[in-house]
Amino acid sequence: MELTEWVVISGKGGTGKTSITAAIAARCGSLVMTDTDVDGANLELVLSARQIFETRFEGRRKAVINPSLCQACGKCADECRFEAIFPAAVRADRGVIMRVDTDACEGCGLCARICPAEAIIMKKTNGGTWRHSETPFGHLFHARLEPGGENSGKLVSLLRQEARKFAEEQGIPLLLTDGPPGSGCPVIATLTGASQVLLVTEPTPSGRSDAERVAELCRHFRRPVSLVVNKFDLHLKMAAEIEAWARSCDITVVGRLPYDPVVSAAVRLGVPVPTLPPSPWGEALSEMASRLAFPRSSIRKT
Amino acid sequence: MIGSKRGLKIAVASGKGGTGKTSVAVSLALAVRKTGRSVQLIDADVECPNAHHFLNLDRRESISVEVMLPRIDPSRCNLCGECAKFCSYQALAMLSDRVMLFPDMCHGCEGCWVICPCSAIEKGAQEIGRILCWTTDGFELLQGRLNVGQVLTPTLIRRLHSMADETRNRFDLTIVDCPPGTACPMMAAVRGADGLLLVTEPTTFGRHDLELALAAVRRFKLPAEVIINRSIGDDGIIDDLCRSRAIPIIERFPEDRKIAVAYSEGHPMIEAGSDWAERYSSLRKHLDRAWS
Repeated sequence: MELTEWVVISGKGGTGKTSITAAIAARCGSLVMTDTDVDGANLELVLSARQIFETRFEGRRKAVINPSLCQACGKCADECRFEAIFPAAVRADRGVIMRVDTDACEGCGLCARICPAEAIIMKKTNGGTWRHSETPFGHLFHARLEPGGENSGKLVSLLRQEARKFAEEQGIPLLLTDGPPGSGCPVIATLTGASQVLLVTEPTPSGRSDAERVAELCRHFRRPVSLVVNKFDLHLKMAAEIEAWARSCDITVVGRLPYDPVVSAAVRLGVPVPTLPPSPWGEALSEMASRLAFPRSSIRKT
Repeated sequence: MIGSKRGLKIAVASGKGGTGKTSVAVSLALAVRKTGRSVQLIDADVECPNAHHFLNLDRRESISVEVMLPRIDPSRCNLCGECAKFCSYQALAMLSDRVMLFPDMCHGCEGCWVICPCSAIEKGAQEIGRILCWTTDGFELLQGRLNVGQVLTPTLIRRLHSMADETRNRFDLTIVDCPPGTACPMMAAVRGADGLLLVTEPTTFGRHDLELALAAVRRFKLPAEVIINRSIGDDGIIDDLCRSRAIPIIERFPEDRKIAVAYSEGHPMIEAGSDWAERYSSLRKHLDRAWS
């Protein structure tokens, strides 16, 4: 079975990725969803998700100093390129106390390796959890990165792998992934190996420049891109310019969606837009979704 | 009053993306600047930097930010494999006849260089991004831009902060426009701030991510205040959360299509009309009282 994975990304946050993902899902007959915005996962909130499985995710290793062995020679602090170790206090009984800033520690392990007193160990941290849930529209794989946590790229890869495995077992040919904002580590982990990218943008200077950055990233990883301009009627001229730019770099323009209060109303109600009475946004979305190259068996017959 | 002590740093963050962080940060900077005080604005959303779109500034400088990238001298390498075994990021792999480097995976910790028993590793460099600097009278914008395909977001943000710290004392106020999310980039951006303004919206998405952001920044023990953007009158969903955490809501900006249109034309909230200028003046007055 050929598995197709569409990933929805945008660069800029708040352009409508999650609302669009949920709406596409509600129109489909059969699919598996993944939410790779692991440090702000919202798709579950509009899909009435019911969790059926949850497990821990191992976070990055962090340096831990054993104060009773530490001689406070300062070698670790000198060598740490992340400025994560520093002398924190001076105590009359024990001298200088070295401390690790766990937010800054990137877990390279150099301090533990070079410490002459062998006072530093690398300790595994709690990275958060990942979950498998049922929704009325299909199964959902999502996660909750430990707040302030790291390794989001690894968590994204793990989620996508689990979703893929499940889809293969169930014979479901379509994966739909709601991606994170930005253009860094979790976005790259979302793009790697995906079949198609749906790039959501809006006609604002930020939306446009972020779309350009993310399109460059997709080109870098050789992923085919389709573009949708959300809230296009906020600035018709810029919407047209973005579409012209997209065509000039081989991006397929699959549609434009209006600025419509129905989108925030649906979020408030916790449902996908297509479950509400017909709306301009809902209709434009349907039209757009019909242009996406989905496997035939995933499309609901209406 | 802001400026009574130089070098005050306020971070504008949110959790959820697209709640209006950049527009609030820029508007607040302009509101304080209007009173004659000097402002440094740091755009720490290095994966998607946008603050410059809303300001009319001439660029002055662009500085390259590099991290160390190992360069292996095959004539000295004895293929012991220590470097590949040490590397926590799988940036080095041992082949039968050489060590292979994956530059995209390297975090620039320099560990391989430190531990190599035969000094076969030299320090090369790779650019992870750039810092752009715009300066006008009493105003400075420092913006980090991560190179496309690079992943060392927190490293670039830390360098951006170090650079901003060099000139911070020349300004009455420093404002940090943080990246969305609640992971390491946001933590790196908030680090070193004296206070936090959290911009959210009255939806389940806004609440969910605000709650995560509060959990993430708890360990910084910073004074935090919330601004509700796109308020629709009933913000109960955010009110409940803030009440339970004893975090004051200092402003409710109404949902207004005018703002969305102004934003699409490159204007921050404060420039969307006299009513919005008034709102920012009152926000600025509040912060003057709260941050004296």
